[in-house]
Amino acid sequence: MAEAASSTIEKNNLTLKSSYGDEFVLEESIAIQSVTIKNMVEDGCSSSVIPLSKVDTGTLIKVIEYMKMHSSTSSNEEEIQNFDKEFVRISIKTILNILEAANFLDIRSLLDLCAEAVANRIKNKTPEVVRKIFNITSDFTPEEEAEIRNETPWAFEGDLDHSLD
Amino acid sequence: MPQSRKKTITSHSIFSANVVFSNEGLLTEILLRLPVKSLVQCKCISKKWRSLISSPHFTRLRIPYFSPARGIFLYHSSFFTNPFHKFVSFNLENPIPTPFLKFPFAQHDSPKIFIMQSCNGLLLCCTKHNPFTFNEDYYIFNPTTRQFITLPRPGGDVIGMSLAFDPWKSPHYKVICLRISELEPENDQIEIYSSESKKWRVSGPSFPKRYDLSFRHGLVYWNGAIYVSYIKRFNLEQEKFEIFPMPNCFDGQEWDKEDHRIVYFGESYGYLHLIQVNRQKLTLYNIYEMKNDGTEWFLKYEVNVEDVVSGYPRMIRRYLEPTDFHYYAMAVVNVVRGEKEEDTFLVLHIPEMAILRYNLADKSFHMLCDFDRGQDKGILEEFDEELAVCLHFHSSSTYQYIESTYYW
Repeated sequence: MAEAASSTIEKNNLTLKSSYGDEFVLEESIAIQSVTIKNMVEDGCSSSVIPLSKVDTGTLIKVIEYMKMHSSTSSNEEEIQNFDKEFVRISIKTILNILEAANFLDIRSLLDLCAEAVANRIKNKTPEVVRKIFNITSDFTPEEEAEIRNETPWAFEGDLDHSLD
Repeated sequence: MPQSRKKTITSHSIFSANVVFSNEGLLTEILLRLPVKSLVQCKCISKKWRSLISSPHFTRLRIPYFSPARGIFLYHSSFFTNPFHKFVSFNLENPIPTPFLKFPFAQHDSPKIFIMQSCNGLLLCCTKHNPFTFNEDYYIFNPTTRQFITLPRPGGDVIGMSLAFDPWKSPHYKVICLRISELEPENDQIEIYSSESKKWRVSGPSFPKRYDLSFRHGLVYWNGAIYVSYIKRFNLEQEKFEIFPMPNCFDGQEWDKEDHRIVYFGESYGYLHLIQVNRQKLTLYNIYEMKNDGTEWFLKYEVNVEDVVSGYPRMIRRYLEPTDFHYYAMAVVNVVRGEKEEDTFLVLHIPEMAILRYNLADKSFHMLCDFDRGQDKGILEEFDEELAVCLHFHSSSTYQYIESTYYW
């Protein structure tokens, strides 16, 4: 309790700057869930603005929303679980952006959440749709691809999802 | 709300999916969380995805995501019907379908194929053994991906084989073969196949035949050794047989005054188990676990399954003495471990051909399936109602199904 009280008195704030130049002020205790930021603070960069040149504004807002919820002492486990569930109810492309940011900022639990969410969303999709989502052009010839499919025809049985999101 | 300079936030982002997916580490994070079927599909996305998914590195990373056993193959043979394998899913609410209906290597006119051993996701299979010929084929088969290889034949006439696959330690498996020595037919010889070299090699000198070594049924691989009996294992590192201790309760037991008996021996999710019962209390299963270093057994669980007997009293063979080891027609066919301690359960078999799941945490049990015995039912019951109270499956002819993406 004493610790909580003292942190409200001398709230150390950090300023995070997105790749678009937008600045966000955040309590240090919340921001250091990011190992990258924690290391910067420990290296004495906390007084100045922390530039996150790899994270755009929209993504940074989501990341901050996540960090705030996960450092809140008033929410219980169930509330956090529900929050996580809602948090990834966004387009796959947005989740991929957050995944990349979680990787850069080194927030393991967010990385796990996003990787799990992407896996859940793509697990029943056709290979064609998966390629579109990830902007991949197949480098197999049609013959090669048919051969791979023939190796394991069972994997391509059943209904697959054609939607992009 | 985050403080920010007033600025309209645009929805586009400088991060395109291209950026994410040039990052192999992040792609791996996603792929690791896909179920096996999707993963196999993803091999046709691109060459890069295929090589990543097929790499030994990925296979090894995926191990923590290995699911515990999800079902069991039961081998059944009788005088009256052709031998067959049955599959039983461990989960009734969300059952998994039979992984395969037919062995992909079964030729139309080939002899029967049976499973000899299940080892961390791979099955060792064999064409039906004919004691007068030695020309059977052995296969390594992944029932999840349905990929298989036919093992090349080792040097001499094969007595039996066993599979050692430990994805926690190596992406390669070994097959240990007991065969008749070519030069000294009165002697036997061990030969070892490695999936890395794809070759057989002779291991150690030949030795006089030992009839306690069959290398055919109930062999168990655990922690660097093939367990060939309750006291003997083949150490794969040193490539020699060694003796290991029995649980203490067997100390000083004389063969003709047998009070304890081992009714189960098997591996699950990296744990080696043995079940011992005492004839004075046949419903009490003492489940021992082997210490990690393989030096001694310790009592892990004590389970009294008398509720199962009350629930299915038909299993009581009233014509026997209650201290007869066969008094109850009930067998433990598997001890199954999971990620958490409370996931542990027993797979029990009771007449006629019923399979039960008995959860150790809350002592609850329910039927997983009851096969229709079909044509041989009538034949037996014509003889004797009591004779019909018989068991059809044994722990040494049941094989766990573990999902695995293992490719070679």
